[in-house]
Amino acid sequence: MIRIILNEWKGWLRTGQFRWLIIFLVLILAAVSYFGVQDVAKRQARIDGSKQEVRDQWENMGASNPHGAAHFGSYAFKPLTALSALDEGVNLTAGRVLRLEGHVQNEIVHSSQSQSVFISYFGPLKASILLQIVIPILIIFLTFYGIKGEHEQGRVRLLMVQGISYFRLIFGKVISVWVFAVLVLLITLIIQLLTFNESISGDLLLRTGLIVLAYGSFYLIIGSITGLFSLKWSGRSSALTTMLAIWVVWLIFLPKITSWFVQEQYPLPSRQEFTDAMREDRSKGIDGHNPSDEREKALKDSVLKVYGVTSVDSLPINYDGLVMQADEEYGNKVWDKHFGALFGVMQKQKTSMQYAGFLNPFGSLQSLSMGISGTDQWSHLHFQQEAEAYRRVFIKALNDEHAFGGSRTGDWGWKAEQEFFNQIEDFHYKTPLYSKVSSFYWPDWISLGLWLILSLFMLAFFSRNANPISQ
Amino acid sequence: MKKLIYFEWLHFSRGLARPIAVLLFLFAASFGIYNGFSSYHERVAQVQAIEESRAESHQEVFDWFESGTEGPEERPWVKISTPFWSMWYAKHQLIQNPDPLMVYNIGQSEHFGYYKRVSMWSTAFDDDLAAEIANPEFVQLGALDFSFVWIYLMPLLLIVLTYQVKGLEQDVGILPLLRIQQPYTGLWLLRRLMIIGVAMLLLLSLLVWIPELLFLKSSQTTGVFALWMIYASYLFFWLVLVFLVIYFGKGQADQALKMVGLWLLFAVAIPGVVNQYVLLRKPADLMLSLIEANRDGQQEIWDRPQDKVIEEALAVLPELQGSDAATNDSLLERQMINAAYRLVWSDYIAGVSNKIMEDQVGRNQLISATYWFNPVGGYHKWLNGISGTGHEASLRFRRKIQEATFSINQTLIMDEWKKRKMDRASFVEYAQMFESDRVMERE
Repeated sequence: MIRIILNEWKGWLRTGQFRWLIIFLVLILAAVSYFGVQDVAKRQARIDGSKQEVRDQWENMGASNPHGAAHFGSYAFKPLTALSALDEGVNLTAGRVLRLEGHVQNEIVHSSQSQSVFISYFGPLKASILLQIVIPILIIFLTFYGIKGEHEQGRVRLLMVQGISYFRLIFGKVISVWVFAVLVLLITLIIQLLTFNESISGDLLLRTGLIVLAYGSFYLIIGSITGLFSLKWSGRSSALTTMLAIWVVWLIFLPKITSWFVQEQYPLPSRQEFTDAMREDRSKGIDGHNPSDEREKALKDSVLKVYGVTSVDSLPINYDGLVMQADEEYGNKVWDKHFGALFGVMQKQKTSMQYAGFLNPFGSLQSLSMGISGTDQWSHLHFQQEAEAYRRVFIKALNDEHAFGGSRTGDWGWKAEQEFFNQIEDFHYKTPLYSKVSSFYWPDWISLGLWLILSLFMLAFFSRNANPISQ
Repeated sequence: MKKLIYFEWLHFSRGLARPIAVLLFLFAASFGIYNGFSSYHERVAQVQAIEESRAESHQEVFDWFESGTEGPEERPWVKISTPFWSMWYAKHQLIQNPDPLMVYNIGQSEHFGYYKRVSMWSTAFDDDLAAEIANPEFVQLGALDFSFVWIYLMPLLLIVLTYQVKGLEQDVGILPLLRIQQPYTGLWLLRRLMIIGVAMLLLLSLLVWIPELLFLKSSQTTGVFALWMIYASYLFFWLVLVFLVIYFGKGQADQALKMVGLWLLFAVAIPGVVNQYVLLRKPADLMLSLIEANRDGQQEIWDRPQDKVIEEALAVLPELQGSDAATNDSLLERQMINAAYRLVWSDYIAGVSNKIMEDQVGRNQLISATYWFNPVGGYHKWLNGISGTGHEASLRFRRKIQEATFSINQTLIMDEWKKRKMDRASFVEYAQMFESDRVMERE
């Protein structure tokens, strides 16, 4: 087998065109990786700078009314992960800025793609584009021509007479192309890691290793299926046409059609419907029997009872702060109900897409590539949930200060000192470790694993049972 | 010619691969049109729902006017007879009407909001002008519309239909024989490609004109014709490329590899490089200037002394100068002063928004400068421009929002300073302020 692989490699290297192709491919991947890392570093620096600037404004706003400060608000900027340089995922479509303020829960806005005319359907030329689109096409062509060449030049008979089985010959061809593809993948990842500006953590190494595993498995699937078609059609061009057609179906047709089907199965509400329902629940009560005025009356009665007074003006605290916090807490329940349902639908959509990987291994690879890089839908929603958790703590601190900081009911001009505002910690988001989120990606791994086993088994079965001499 | 057509038909129908490829393409194209059609109808239904909800809310206001009440019981501070509250309850919705050409080209519309409630506090970049709620992974995948099928899949179909032309003859060694029969191989090749090209053009015409006749009821003939011309020119562009590859080709494999390479180059690599270049040269705006404007800028305006703000309001709106309040400070009431602050603020925020929009136009110009070597990007922009589903349409919509905000504040200050008393008729006048703005944003 090793001899077959080495022979195949020698054959390629003897071809001038192929030598140039290797040099070109490695150079372009090196350039793409380098610029990808630089781009991520530059964008992250902008995010850090903006975060700092927004915090500086907060720390220098001077003595302010806490409720005014809640409207002044804070901003969460979604950081980029190290592997964004490899796979951008939803980064460019989903926005990075989230305004955190009192009364309302906003959405992440200002995506990159909403700020210019259309640029590219497949996104910026990141390493993942080359690794997901170009390398598989190369695998298809190299595997096909490797097997076709043996048939056309009549070497198959010669090799079989020499005692080399057809199975070993075909496998040798497939593996030689696969090893080449994996080497290109490794070179890309090594360049990424070498040009990476920060220290390399264990989690990053684990994620990089998993990228190798996912892409490596996919390359073997592509190679095996091409090998299978090539041996079935004895290297005729219909094998190449069929494999390219499958590639287009995997790359373009199935993701689009399955995503459409999944959206039909699990539809999301329109923005208008969603905001109307949230507003309705907030004013009339989640169950429709607890409107805001009744909630406020109940709160008022309980507070007056606790303090043993008959009117809010006699309270030693600022009752407005309590009302705002109670409204905030009710709003949080409403958010949990509606966003919880929304996230639930999105999660169902994601899971269905993952199951669609059993029809389309490319879908599983894409999902894994984004998931491992921390740039998929789940990572996006996780950021949003963490930011919302922070918003609740942030607004509660301000409302508590408004209520218990020393002002009295109706005193909207009262101001808390700057030191108080500085004590409230800024939002710091940390991408969760892969080990904590790995369970989300099991369907993708299982689908890729099954495809791998099936394609290798089919290749082994048909190559063992084929009789190339009679063909 | 008849013989040539017959020969091409034989060539096409000999194997299964080509008919299957055409069927797949037809399926994708029909699906794309269906998808565009349902997106268009969803938007039309959404706009209708918004208008119905607005009409209901207006009815509530009419009831207040009729019963002589000033507003809802639970909001005793509302005084509908004042310009401020009448304007508030006019609940202006600016809508970018969905364009029927979306049926063919959904374009970038999934990235932008197409309706927005505009009040005295609105800006062109408010968070509620976000796109419809969608799974970010699906948005990233993009919509499967007819334009997508034509721009990305049509070249692949053309490759399947043509990679064997001349290559097969070369591979089986009959090219010298052909050269004896056809001394002008280029002309022979041209004729063969012309037949395939005409067949593709027929296919395009059927796919484009049938929906126009059946679903759009011939209402968009000019727009559809413009789209058809663009699709046809894109087909011509690929036919020229394919001709060159085949003319200089060295067999089927060589031709297939080069054609797929060209597809990768034009569809993936060049737009990808341009995208990366733009990200490096002009990274996405994190809207820091807007954040600063909404925090420090706004605060700074509200901290300004009243006389300075009145002076600024008079400079922004010289028509105010003739009013009694402008000449006599003692006539100025709280609402009138607030209106002046709002006018100054809306003038200031318009400047900030315009700067952001200018930056985006600059980014667009940077991208447009690449179209001479990035035809796929150019075709997308061209199509999106015609169907009003691109970024430029969204910028025009944002500008309208900004203008509407200013217009609301302008009307308010004029009426507040005149101490206008609102009634049903004047409320209707407010409510209809932007009715004529509901147009499509085609170029």
